[in-house]
Amino acid sequence: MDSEFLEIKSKDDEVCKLGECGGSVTSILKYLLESKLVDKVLTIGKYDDIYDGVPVLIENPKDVNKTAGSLHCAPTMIGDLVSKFLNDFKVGVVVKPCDSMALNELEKRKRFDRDNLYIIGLNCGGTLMPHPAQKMFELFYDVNPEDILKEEIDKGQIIIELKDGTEKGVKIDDLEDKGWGRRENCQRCEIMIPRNTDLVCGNWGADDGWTFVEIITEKGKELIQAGIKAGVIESKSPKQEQIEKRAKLEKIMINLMKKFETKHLETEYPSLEEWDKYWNRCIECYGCRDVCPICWCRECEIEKLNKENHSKSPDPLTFQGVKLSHMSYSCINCGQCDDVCPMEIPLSKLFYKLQKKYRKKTGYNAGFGEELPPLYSPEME
Amino acid sequence: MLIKHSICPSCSVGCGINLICIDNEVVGTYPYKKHPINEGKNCSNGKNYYKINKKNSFKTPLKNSGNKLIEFDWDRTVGSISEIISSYHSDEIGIISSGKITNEEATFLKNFAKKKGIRKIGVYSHNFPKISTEKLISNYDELNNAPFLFIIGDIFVKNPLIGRRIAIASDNGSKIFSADYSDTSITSINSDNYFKISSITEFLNNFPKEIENELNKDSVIIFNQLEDKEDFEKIEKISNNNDSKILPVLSDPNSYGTMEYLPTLDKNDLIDLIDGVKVLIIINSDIGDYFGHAEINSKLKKLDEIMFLTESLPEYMSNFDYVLPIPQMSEKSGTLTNTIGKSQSFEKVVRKDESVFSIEKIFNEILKD
Amino acid sequence: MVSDVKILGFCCNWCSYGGADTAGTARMQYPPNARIIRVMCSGRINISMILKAFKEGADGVFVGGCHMGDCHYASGNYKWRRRAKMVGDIIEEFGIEKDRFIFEWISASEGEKFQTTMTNFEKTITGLGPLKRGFKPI
Repeated sequence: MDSEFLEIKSKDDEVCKLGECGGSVTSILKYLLESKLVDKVLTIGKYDDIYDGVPVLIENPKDVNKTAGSLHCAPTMIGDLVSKFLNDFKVGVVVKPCDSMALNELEKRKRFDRDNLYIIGLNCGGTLMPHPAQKMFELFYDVNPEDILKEEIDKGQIIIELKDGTEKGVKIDDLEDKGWGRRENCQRCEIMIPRNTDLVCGNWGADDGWTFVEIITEKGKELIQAGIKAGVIESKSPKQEQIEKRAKLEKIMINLMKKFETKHLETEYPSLEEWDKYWNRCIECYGCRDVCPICWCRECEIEKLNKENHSKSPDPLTFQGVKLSHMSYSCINCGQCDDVCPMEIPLSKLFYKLQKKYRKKTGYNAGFGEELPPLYSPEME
Repeated sequence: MLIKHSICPSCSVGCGINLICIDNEVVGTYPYKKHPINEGKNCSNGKNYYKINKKNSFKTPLKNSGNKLIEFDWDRTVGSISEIISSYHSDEIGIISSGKITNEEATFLKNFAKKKGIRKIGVYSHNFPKISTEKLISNYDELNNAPFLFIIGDIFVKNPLIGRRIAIASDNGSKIFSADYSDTSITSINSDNYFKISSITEFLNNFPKEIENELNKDSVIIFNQLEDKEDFEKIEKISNNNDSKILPVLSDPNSYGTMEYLPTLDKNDLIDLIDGVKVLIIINSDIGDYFGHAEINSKLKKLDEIMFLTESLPEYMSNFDYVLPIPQMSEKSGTLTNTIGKSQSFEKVVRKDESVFSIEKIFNEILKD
Repeated sequence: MVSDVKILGFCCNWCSYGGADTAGTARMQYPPNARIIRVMCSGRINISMILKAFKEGADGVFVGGCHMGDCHYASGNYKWRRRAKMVGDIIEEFGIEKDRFIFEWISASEGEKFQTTMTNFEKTITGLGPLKRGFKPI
């Protein structure tokens, strides 16, 4: 179906207050559980504070409110959680673009049954790493990170709200020019509106207190209609200018992204000497493989080719080289490998660069569509 | 499915790790990106710790009967141990533990020993003395910008999350020198200058001028192995000459903490302790690994009774008379003090099997008699 | 003159291996520093085999398969062709020149094609010299 646009908000006053933009997502999740459309809901919640976003699985609709509100210090990945641990259930998942791309790749590999999932996408301008974010708030906002109640990325700024009610904003450009701001992978991420979901929610183009929804699939449409019918959410049609405003914001973000893509993958891409320095540091911990949503083999070829001697760095040809040949065409630039590498090796630059090359040659865009990469094809073509 | 914060028990660095639990069982790990020490990064030991522990876990005490360990019920096991302890003089009883118990358990053991008059008690410290020095770094972040780091031991492989700080320092232009026994290692190839040594003590006695010249108040000496307790003083002395900082990397998650409460034992102390007693209680301590199994077995053979309290069954089974399971890290709460003296609390992640006695419960039962 | 570069060739049993045989029986000379490994189909070759060859000391790697449409197993060479597209991009990232890897379609009767392919490849590799790698294995 063609995308349909709608503005929605929760009809529950408490949820409206707790959540972002009218608490629509919270209400939809609650509705999914209450109406037994799903057994569980997987979303992101605060563990200790706003710097500590972790995936939370909810079964009781009463617990959904706890996860209301946006979190940006949540560079999480839910692909593996869904495919490894939630296979047997009907689940509603809330995803940012990298999550939905991971789910797409895993779905193509038959790691779970798509019919079991309601995938609710969120517009995403990027995430922050918790530790650097706290330092950034100290340095550029001159505040104690513990005094921050909420943070928000909006209109090109990272805005914080303090305990005493005051707000402070600094332009993302200024922060990122100095090496702070969003994660590198988020800076060069091409997807802000994940259209490989059932529906996408966000504030771009929305009226105050409302959520702008792009409905992608029939399943998403039915869900929203059912929610309206049940009196959980209310809706209105957005004006043409709102739709245009949203499209314009997306375009601005895409242009900004291109600048970073060139910087990370070309002008500031590590030299061969730098890569060799990185490879000589590798302790063969398999962190990059374990966290990669694309890597899922039960028997790992990298392990077979290496694992000779733990006191030496593995040869990058048969380690990262083989990993490249197994997954780079499907790399979705989620950056989890960079995040977990104990030796600070910028692996995702390499993986993502190769996916870009593969895309150029074959037209295969990781994270989208229904077909596996051409490599998997049995055809005579 | 529930994701819970925990502390990595695989070495003394004190990394955070998230555990994925399903139906009261740990089934995986998830990066704990907010943790200030490791920011979501873990080594393979940390990530696989729960697997190994799960594989070798057991729930019922074992009793040696005709050179075979057979299952024995809890009450009778604890009763027998009580009897044994009360039938020996307190000087004939020894207790050996390690940095694999929490601060709370260490305090408890200290008090238990005091009540029973047991003086032969200690933790094996891998030749490190109790850490009480002003020279210690206060924060791992100090390593990131140190202009010079001197390393003894293969930190990259044994303590990768300190290795990470060394890599960051190196990227920031720091000069790295290292010394170790091996010809090469990951640490050595990531150093600007490497000293292959045959003895740490000798090396410290004739400490090279070229290293000493590089040391200043911003540099740090990092070491994860020593040959005896005096080596520590030697390193302290070297650092006093130039006001540099030190970072002793201990072996167990709570080595630093247990040393606060219980005497530290180096290899000789440990041999003396074993030779001087007739009954030995070993608590979560891999004494087999400290010497080699053959040597330890011949020592242990001379003892009357050996009780072994452990989270998971060891690969080797020595001539223990009783082997008792104790709750694993994920099944209890407490605090652990990492190698820079920072105490971190951790919460119970899964419920323990009801039947399993905690360390406190086992010793309280013994105290009753 | 024989240079001391080492070339590894993976040849499909049904075509290129036959091609090498044809070249041999017809006494067509091809470089002696090429060592051939027979595989049952080019579709059997994984990128990791090429990478392993470079790791183990090959200075150049050649893969020979059947012409499109001639695969003994119908589509093996198509599958290999899709994989082969990635090899150059991967080895380049580890400091190995793209030219150190080639693949060609050679039938059992094309002894001459086998000879010229190998001779030219050997020239290229000799020009590049032995493989030098920045990574220092311990």
